[in-house]
Amino acid sequence: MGKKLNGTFTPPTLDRIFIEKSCAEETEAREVVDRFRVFYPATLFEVVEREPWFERVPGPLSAGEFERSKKNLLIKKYPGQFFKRCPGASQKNTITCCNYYVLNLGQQCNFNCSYCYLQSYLNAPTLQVYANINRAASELRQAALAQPDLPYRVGTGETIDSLSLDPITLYSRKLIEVFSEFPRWSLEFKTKSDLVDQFLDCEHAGNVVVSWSINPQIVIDHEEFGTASLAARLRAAEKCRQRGFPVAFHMDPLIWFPGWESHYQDLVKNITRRFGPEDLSVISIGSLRFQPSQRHLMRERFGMKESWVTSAEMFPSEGGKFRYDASLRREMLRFVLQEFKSRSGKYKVFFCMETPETWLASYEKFPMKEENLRPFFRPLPSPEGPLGQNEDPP
Amino acid sequence: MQTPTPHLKSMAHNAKRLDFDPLGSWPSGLPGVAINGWIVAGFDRKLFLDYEVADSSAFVSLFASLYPHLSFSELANFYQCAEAYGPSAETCGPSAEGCDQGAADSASQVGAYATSTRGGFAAHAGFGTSISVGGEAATGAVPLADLLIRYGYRDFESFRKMARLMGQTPPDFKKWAARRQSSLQELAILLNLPIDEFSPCLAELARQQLTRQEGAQALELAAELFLLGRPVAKILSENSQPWLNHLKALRYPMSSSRDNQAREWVNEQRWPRQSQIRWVRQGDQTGLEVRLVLRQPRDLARGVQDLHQINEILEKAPRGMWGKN
Ligand code: SF4
Repeated sequence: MGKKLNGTFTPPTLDRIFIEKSCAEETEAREVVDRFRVFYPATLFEVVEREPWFERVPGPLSAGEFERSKKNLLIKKYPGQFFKRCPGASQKNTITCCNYYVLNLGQQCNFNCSYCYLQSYLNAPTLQVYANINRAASELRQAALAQPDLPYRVGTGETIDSLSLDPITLYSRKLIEVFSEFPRWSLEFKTKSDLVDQFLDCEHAGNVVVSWSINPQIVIDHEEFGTASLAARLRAAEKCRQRGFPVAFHMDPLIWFPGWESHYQDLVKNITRRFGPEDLSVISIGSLRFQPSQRHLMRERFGMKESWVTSAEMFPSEGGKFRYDASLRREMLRFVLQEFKSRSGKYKVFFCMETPETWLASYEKFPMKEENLRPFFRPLPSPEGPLGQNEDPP
Repeated sequence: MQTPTPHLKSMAHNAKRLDFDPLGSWPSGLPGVAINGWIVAGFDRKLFLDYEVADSSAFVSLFASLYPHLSFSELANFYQCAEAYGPSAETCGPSAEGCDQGAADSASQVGAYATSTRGGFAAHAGFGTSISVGGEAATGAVPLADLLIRYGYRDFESFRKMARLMGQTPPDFKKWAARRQSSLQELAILLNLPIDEFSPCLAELARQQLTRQEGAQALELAAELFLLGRPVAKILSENSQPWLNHLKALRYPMSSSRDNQAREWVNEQRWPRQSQIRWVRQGDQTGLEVRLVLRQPRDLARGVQDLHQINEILEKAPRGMWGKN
C-alpha cells in the first residue's frame, strides 16, 4: 500500500489510541499503526495487553459510554470471521433481500447520526479498526476462487463507515487490488464522507462501487452530525465517476418532517441533473427504522425536541423494528420512486430492508420481476468457504 | 449450606432497619427476621430471629429464601434503605418516616465510593462493606453487590442511578411499579426526566387501572410528551377518554387523526346486520377488521352476500383512508 493523502483531510478528533500488544509487534498490523502515528500526537497512543475497559459489565453501552467510544480508538486484530451475510438475508419473512455480503474492517463510527443502528448493536466501548486486513483479503480470495464467476456483492460499510478513516488506513487500496482479480464480484464502499482521493488513482476492474447515503441537506443538518455536506458527497461521487468507478446512492433513511416532499423532490432533481441512469449502478430507498432497544440512547443523546427521528411517530412493525405507519411509509417510498421514474424509467431504484407488502404496494411488483433489478435479487448458491457461514445479524 | 441457628431477641428502637416496604405482609404471629443485626422482615415486630452469618453468600441465600422474587421497585427501595446507612448515615441515621428519606443525604458519599472503583457491578464486591455500620466487614455489612447479582442486576451503575431516581418518585408509583413487576428497562425513561416536575404523571399512572404492558406504554408516551415540551397539565387526562388513548392521540397526532377519520367513516356506514366491522391498528399497520359469524353452513351464502355489500360500501370510502396514494 502506498501513500495517498490529500492535503485537505482532517483526521477525526480522538482522545486516546489504544494498540493491542500483538499489533504493536507484527509487521502487518504495525503498518496501520504507523499510519495513525502520522496523524496523531504520540501522547495519545498506548499499547495495551487487553481491550480497554475489559472489566466493564458486558451489555449495552450507556449514552456516555457510547459518546466516549467514538473518541477512543482501538487498533486490534479481529479474531472472528470477516465476512457475513447482510442482516437482511436472514429476515426473509419481513425483508426483501438483495443477496449482499458484508466485510467488516472495524466497528463504531466517527460520525454521529441520530438513527444509527450501531446504538442498538455495539457493546464495546471503543471505535475499532481491525489491523489484520491481510487475513480479510485472504478470506475473500478463498471465497472468490471457489465461485469466481458468480456476481457476489460485498460491502464494507455495515459496522463502520467505509471511508471515514480510509485516508489513514488506506484499506480501500488493498481491497480494490483484491477485487481487480475477480471482476465478476463487486465491492461497495458505503459512506457519508467525501473522502475518496486516497484511492482514485488505483487500477480497478470497474467492479468497485462507491456509494453514498444521501438525504436533503436539512436532514443532514438535523440528524447526521459530523458527516460531509450533501454538496461535498455529490462532488466526491462525480470524482469517482470521472475515474470510472461505478457510483450508487442510498436514499436511506427517508425521514418525515413538515415539507419533506419538496426537499426530497429537490434531492432527486439534484441527483438526476448530475447523474444519468447509466452513471448509477443502483439507487436504494429505505424509510426510517430502528430497534426498540436503541430508543433510550437516542433520546438521551439527541433529545426529543430537536430531532425528527426521536420525535417521529413510530410503531412496532413485523420483525420487531420501529417504523413509520405503513401507509406513510408507502407514500414516502412511492413518492421518491415516482420522482426518479418521472425523470427516467431507466434508474435502477430498489427498496432496502422493506417488507414484501411495501414492495408490492409501492412498486406493484417484486424486484425479481423488474428487469433492471433482477440481477441484484437473483438467488445465488451459498458460496463455499467463509462466506457460506452465516452469523446472526445485529 | 446449613442455615445457622438464630437467636430470638427483642431489638432496640434504633436497630438497623431495612424496611423497604416489600409487597405482601409478613405472616402474623411470626417474629421478625434480622441478619447480623439488620432487620430484613417483619419490621413492625417486637421480637426477632437474629441470624448470625459469617459471609456474604450466607447473607444472600438467607435473604433470598425470605424473598425469592423481588421487583425492581422493591429492590430499589431496599438499596435506598441500605444506602441510608452509608458512612455518613450513622450520624444522621434513617429518618423517622422510614429509610426512604434517610437515603438521600448519605447517597452521594456511598455513591462516590462506589464509582471510584471500576465501572462494573461485579467489581463492587466490597461495596457492601462501605455501608456497614459500626461492625466488622464480615459480620456488619449488607453485601449489596452480591444481593443485587442474586436478583439479576449485574450492572451496578445503571441500577444505582435508577434506584436513586425511584427514590424520588411518588410512593403510589413505587407501589404500582412493584405490583406490576415493572422492570428496570421499562422504567429507564425516568433517567431522562426531572422527576419532581414529572411526578404528577407518575401519580396519575399509579391511579390508572393499567396492565404492566399498558403501564409501560403509558409511561413511555407520557415521558416522551414531556420531553417534547408538552405541559404536564396537558399530558394528564383532561377528558373522558381512557388515559392511554389520550396519550396516544397526543403523541401520534398524524396517525391518530388519520385513524380517527377512518374510524368515524366506518362507524357512519350501514354495514350488513350480521357483520362486525371496525377500523383497527396493529403496530404500524391499519385496516378494516371484518367479522362474520356463520352459525350454520347455510349462513355462508348470506356471508358471501354480506361481503359483496361490504365491498360496495368500501368502494365509496375516501381515498385517504388507505393512505395518500
Ligand atoms: S455514518 Fe452510518 S455508521 Fe456512522 S454514525 Fe451515521 S449511520 Fe452510524
